Amino acid sequence: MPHGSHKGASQALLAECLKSSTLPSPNCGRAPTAVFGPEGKLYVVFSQHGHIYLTTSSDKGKTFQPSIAVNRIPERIYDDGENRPKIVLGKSAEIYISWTHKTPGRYSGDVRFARSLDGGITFNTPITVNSDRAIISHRFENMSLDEKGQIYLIWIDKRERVKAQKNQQKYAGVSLYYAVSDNSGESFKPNQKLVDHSCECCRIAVDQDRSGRVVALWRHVYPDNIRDHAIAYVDPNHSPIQGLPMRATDDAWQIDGCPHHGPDLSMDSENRAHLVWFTQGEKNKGLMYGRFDFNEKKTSQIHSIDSAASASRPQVQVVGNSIYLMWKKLNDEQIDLLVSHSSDQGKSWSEANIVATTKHGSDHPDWLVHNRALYVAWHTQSEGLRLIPVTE
Amino acid sequence: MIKKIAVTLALLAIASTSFAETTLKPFQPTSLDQIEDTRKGESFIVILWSIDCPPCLKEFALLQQLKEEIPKDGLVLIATDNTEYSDSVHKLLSEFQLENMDNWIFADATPERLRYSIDPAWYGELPRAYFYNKSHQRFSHSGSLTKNQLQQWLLANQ
Repeated sequence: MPHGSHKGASQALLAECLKSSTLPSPNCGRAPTAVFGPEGKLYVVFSQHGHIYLTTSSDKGKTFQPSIAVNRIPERIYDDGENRPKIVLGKSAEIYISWTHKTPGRYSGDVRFARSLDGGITFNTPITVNSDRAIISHRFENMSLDEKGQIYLIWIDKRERVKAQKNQQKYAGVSLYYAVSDNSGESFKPNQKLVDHSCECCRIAVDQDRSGRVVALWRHVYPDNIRDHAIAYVDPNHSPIQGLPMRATDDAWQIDGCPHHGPDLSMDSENRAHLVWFTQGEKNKGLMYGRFDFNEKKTSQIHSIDSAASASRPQVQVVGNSIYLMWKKLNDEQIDLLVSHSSDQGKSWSEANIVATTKHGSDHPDWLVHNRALYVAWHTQSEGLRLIPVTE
Repeated sequence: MIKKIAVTLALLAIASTSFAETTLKPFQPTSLDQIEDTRKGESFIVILWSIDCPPCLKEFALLQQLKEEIPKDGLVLIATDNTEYSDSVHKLLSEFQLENMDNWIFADATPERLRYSIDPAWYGELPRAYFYNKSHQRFSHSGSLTKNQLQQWLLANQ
């Protein structure tokens, strides 16, 4: 489901998924997230029956190996659209997996993490990464590695808002917290606050820059409920961001509501941040692209990807000197997946090209890169998980 | 085995009865026409919301407070969560004593289609309100409503 609610494709409609004897699979499960290993082996995590499962494919997703349960004990899991399991591969075959466990309260959750050091044969018992254990929101986690192979988990955290409310102070939005592991995920260092006043209900985008430093992009609540985006390097040696965080988008979207529509980010070889986002601000409306320069502290090459209300979920990926954009669009009775690219640093863009369609429910699409070949992973109710080549 | 089936059927019967009591109607592409048709010549408000939207609850608190001022059939609530979340939707409605309003829940594999059927210009942000006057001209509002806004409209559209 695009904006409005961030539910992804619900129950699969594939025949294989309707049989009770069918084993867990990324076609039938929810919110599958995929990544290529160095040899082109595909790793997919997905949620089904209270478990996060891992499976692999050696033929680009045509067939999958039997799935392995990452968490042995089932638990309630957020597994729709903006909330999905994450998978990151370390340099020495480590597999790091994170997800959000749904705790009993409203909008409440805990950030969970599990790792495998033997290529996914066994997983350690999952750990809860947020040190605050109140039944409140610690959700929308995202994960990245840095140049040293340290693991970063960053999430939306309500503890500062709760603290403020106890002191009868007003607090806009919630905050972003993160934790770093320097021992391949055996444990995490103490939770750190990145920033106060993030939006409550939009995913956080993360990427590594050229030197392996972690960059995050999120929807922020600027004064007067302006929900534009902020960008920052996530540096454990720094104290939390004081004052207003660096502004990456400036659309002046004032809303006391939930966009449910987080941004995406891709860093290029010159450490510029390529951004896509959704807004309904005074200045821009619809799906937008822009390139943020950390030296100039400003976003340029702003481009309206698609301003129709039927367009949603923009994703961006830099491959070599090209920038690729992807988004979903309702086209009469079907949903199209569209791709456009620029080979001149965003000065001009190719016409939107339909790379896939579906007639039923569809999850958020995502990029996959292997050896400079670009694919889209898209989970749809009637087709299951598809890998669609965009470049050869 | 037969006993097992009987128990299952009994449980299903209970489940469907409790579902009927929630009066959570499945919202489909033609549902808005139906909502409008049953309110010819009447003013009303349609509010779209979700269990995953904290500001929607702020709106619910306001609606609960002004419930007595809203005429019968004057408020339509549509949850954009799909039907597998019916239980959570019902729980929230009861909590704010809004279970007796005209309540609907998105019930289509392609929710994009439902959004489009409501308003091709709506991007899906929540909460989203549509104010219909007696001749069914409508205007929309995104984000939480204020008490003032709601009261003034109710007063002007009695």
